Amino acid sequence: MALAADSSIYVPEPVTLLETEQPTELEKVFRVKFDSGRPLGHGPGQFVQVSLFGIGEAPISICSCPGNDEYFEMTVRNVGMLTNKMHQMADGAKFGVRGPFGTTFPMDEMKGKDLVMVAGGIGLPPLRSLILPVMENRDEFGKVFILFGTRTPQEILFADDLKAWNEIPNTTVLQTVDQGDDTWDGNVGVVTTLFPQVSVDPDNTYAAIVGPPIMYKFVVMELAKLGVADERIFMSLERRMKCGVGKCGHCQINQVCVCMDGPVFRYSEARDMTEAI
Amino acid sequence: MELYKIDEKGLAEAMARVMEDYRVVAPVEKGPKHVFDDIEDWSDARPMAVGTVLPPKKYAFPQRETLLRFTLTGETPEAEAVMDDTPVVMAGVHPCDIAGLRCIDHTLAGRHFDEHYGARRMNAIVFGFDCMPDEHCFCTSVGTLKAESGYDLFFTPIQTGGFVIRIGTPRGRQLFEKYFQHAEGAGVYEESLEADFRQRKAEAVTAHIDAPVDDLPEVYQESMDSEVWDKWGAVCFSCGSCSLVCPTCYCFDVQDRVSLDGSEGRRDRIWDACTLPDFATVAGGHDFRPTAPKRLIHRHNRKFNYQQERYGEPHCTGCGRCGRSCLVHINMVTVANELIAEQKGEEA
Amino acid sequence: MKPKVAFFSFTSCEGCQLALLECENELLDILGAIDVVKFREAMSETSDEYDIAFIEGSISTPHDEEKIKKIRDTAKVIVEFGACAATGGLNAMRNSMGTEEDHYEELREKVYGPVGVEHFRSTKARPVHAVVPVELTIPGCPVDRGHLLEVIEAVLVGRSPRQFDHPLCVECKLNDTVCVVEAYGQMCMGPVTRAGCDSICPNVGDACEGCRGLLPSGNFAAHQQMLEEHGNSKEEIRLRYLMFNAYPCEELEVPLP
Repeated sequence: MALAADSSIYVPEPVTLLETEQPTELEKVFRVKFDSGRPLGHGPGQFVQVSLFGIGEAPISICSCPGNDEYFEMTVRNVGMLTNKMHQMADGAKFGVRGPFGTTFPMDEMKGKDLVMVAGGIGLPPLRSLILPVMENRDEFGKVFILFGTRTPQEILFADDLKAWNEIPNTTVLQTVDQGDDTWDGNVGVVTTLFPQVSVDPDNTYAAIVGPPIMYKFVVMELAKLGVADERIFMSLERRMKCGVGKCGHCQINQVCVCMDGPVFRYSEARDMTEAI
Repeated sequence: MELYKIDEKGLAEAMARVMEDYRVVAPVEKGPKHVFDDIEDWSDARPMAVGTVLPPKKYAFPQRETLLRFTLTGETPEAEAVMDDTPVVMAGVHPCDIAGLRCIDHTLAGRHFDEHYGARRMNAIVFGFDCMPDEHCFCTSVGTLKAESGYDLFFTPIQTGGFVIRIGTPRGRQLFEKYFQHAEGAGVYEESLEADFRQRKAEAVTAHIDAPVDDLPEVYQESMDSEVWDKWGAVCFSCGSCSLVCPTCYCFDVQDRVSLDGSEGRRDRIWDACTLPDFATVAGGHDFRPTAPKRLIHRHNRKFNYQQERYGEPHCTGCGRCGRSCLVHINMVTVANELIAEQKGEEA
Repeated sequence: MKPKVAFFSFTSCEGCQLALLECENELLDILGAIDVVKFREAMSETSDEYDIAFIEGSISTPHDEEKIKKIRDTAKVIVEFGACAATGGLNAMRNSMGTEEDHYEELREKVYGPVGVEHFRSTKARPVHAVVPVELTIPGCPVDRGHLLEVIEAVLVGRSPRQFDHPLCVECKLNDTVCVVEAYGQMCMGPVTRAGCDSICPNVGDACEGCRGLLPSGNFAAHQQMLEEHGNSKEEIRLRYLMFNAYPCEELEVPLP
């Protein structure tokens, strides 16, 4: 039997780094395009496997708007070997990408509804891939609340976006930091302290959550208090991944693979999985 | 289904001819145990030996395997997939290990088909052999006493000497016709001898799970907080042996290696185990499964709950390898029966 | 620019330097990738300018301590090279045979006679990281060639080398090696010992003696109980733990039988 030598799900496609921007000390935004010219074609909440030969691979969320045929963007926190190497890359650098992978936030299902989108820290970039298309089609949705919490004001990502979104009618951006400083005159406290300012029609509301593991439980409690049903809460989970395609077993929670059956889960499903949140 | 029979000598002659054309692997002696290894002489094969250290899955999914080779010299790094489709005849694959391969197929050959596994798996020819259980085997509890499919040829020893042969695939038929000239047609009598062997095999199984296998997902789902996990977690070495010897485990790690001159390299996958510390640790340091009891819950549920619910069959095949290799006596049967007893106690 | 690499020997047999020389197939590639400026087992000229210092041997004299601190001031990267440097190794067996205050006087007299008491002052035998911070560790007595090459490669590529934070049992299984405890009842340290040697001893039927050091995550109580079940006395188990791991036992507060 002959198999074409390049027909492997593990072969990455070459991409070129177009430009980077560094909004915080630890995070950089990478704008890249496939050398083949093919669009990524991702949906909101999906991720890719970034591949650096000699170093390895890591799952990275897409933070740019779906439908962009020119390029896609990823926000990368410098926390490991691979992300550290990425941070050293210059414009024009070549590396590999596989994907996009995983499930998406259900834009169609959310149409016509009020939205509560909650992000903690590095959770904003994946959520941005949902916020951007919502903002582009703003009149198709009801009230939109974007809640964003970081540890310090220095860790705020996409500050310009947040400001612009807040100026769109019927759209409210609420921000908080765990620890304020001289530059900060906004809310201080965890992201759940912003919920009293949220007013939506609970029976007609969808929620999307992305943040650190500890955050989910508490945000879900607040959403329950608002009266948002579990079936209309979506969350993106983070796990260790090696393959991105449901093979390596690292990201398995109960019977699901986060990379393939997630990362975006309906809370009514995640609720019953031990270890999920 | 047609049935054939062959005597020991005829089998040896057939296998000698198979070996002229194919790489043949089979259980061979290694100290007091057995391992699957290449053979050049059929007399070295112990096709009925139970409890090889590793299951024959290693021929479809090797312990260490190069997935890609890449060059780093050009402007754009280039990669090429590495596949191995060399045919290999696995002789001495028992019904439990045949089931194990099928379980791995669900994942590696399911959605997002893994071509590297596929190339090897499709060229791994299965000569199944029946066996006699040792004290760790519990195939009768998980429905793997007999293989209904998943083999090219299947050999069951019969009391009158030699083996009854069943043909499971068109490829098996081709091989049978080409190499097994000394086989003869068999009939109702031989079929009864085959059934007789299987009966004796079933009766020789001493380890049993005290509930139907279909009930196990619920038993395990209801036992997430059981103290049974804490008890066994306290003695677990987190050494990964149970997972690494399992015929249905497929978790892997991926590692890159680069030549010292930096010009080229390869991307390898190496078996990993969810019972090892740090298996679920993400960049940044958060460990989603930080204790031995939590890791045991995950592993045992993968066998009798999670995968079973997802794919419709238990992902424990009763081969007993994890029990044999665990130096602190954690085994599937003991754990299952403790959970079952605990629930019966609660119901009463 | 090729990194400048120096090799230093402290209290040791220098066998790990020889392990590097034994990488015959790769030696030319290694020398093509790094610039060795100090290597007593293979060259006479030396330089005191280096980026990476491979430290062989434990720190076990006041003089060792002074010397390693100077190396730390120069080196960007310190590699603990071998069991003695990584865990104190066999040298640390003496730690329980005297006191640091009397510089192990009785022991020195036994080994060197009266002259020794006067001249060879010694401290507790410690791994390098007990005295100065280190970046990388290649444990083992001697170091495993495969692991050594992998670390050199990782440093050149800019990748963090694998930590092998799992027991040796993993490698025995990957190698289809018959478990020496299961098959022969041997007193194997594998279940609590850091992997990375490709299970070289069990592969030939010998028990692991623990030369790559105890795993911080090791289940020591269960391991010792298991060894007892296989007919080993408490004293035998204690001595087996202290053979290569006297210092790690102290460092990790391992309860000994």
